[in-house]
Amino acid sequence: MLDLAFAETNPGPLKSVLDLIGAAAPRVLDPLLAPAPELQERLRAEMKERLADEAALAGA
Amino acid sequence: MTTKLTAAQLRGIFPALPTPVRADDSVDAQATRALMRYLLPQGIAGVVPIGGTGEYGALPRDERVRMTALCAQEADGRVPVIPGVLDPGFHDALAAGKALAAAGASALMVLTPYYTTPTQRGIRDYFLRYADASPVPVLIYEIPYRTRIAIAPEVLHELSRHENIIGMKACNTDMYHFLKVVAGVHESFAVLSGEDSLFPVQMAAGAKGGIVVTATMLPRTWQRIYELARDGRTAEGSLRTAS
Repeated sequence: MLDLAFAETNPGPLKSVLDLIGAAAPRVLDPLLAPAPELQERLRAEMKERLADEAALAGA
Repeated sequence: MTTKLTAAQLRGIFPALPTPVRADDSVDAQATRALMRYLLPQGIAGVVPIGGTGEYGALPRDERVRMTALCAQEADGRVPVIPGVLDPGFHDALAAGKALAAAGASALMVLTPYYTTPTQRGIRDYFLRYADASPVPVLIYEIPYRTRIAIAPEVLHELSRHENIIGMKACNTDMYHFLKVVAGVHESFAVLSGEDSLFPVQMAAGAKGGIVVTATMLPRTWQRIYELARDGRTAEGSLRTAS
């Protein structure tokens, strides 16, 4: 997951998935650019799995 | 926070917050509040807005203050809010710190003075002068792979004895440097890991917690990794970090 989160300059990848925790705000400021779509898709899939683990930890 | 922050409170996981922004580059207050409301019930030790992850250099000055104020309002004294101060020179850095303190910052995470390539004595004098003038406690932010400025362990040892310097975010990936730093800092100073990937190892070596980027999304996972590392189960913590 860390490899994906930091595959492009932070915080672009992280911001692309903030909607998963209810804080949608993907925009990055100049000179950063939005991460590549493929990276966003891979990080999103990975983060969804991790968030399921988070929910389990919350219930533990 | 109503009382002055101390190193004893620098324990655990401090998410490094991204700054939600709108199309006009202003802070998105609604998303910021949502972010804080997601994090606050989940055992975090504090938050660190407007550092590198918070795009300090790209945010307008007023928006940095606004982001800090929003975080402080949401935290409402429950956890410390420790914004970054990433200006390269003393006067702008101090003015920024005073504005952020007035907005509710509990402490300031102050970056090494970059671009001018200072000597070690210059770095020491800079932080001593800053700490003398700062209205709230200071954490030193060392990140040589961004600034090209590393602080000698001996200088950090001396700075750690200043009553208004309570800790540091350690992003120097040289572990021998890290070990030398931890070996000599004063007990009134907490070293926090600043690298998600090195967190368990730095905890094993003496870090008291970490300022962690991905903890913004996964605060409980990072809390679990913190507990494992704190309890000496470094290998388990490392496995969770690297998987």
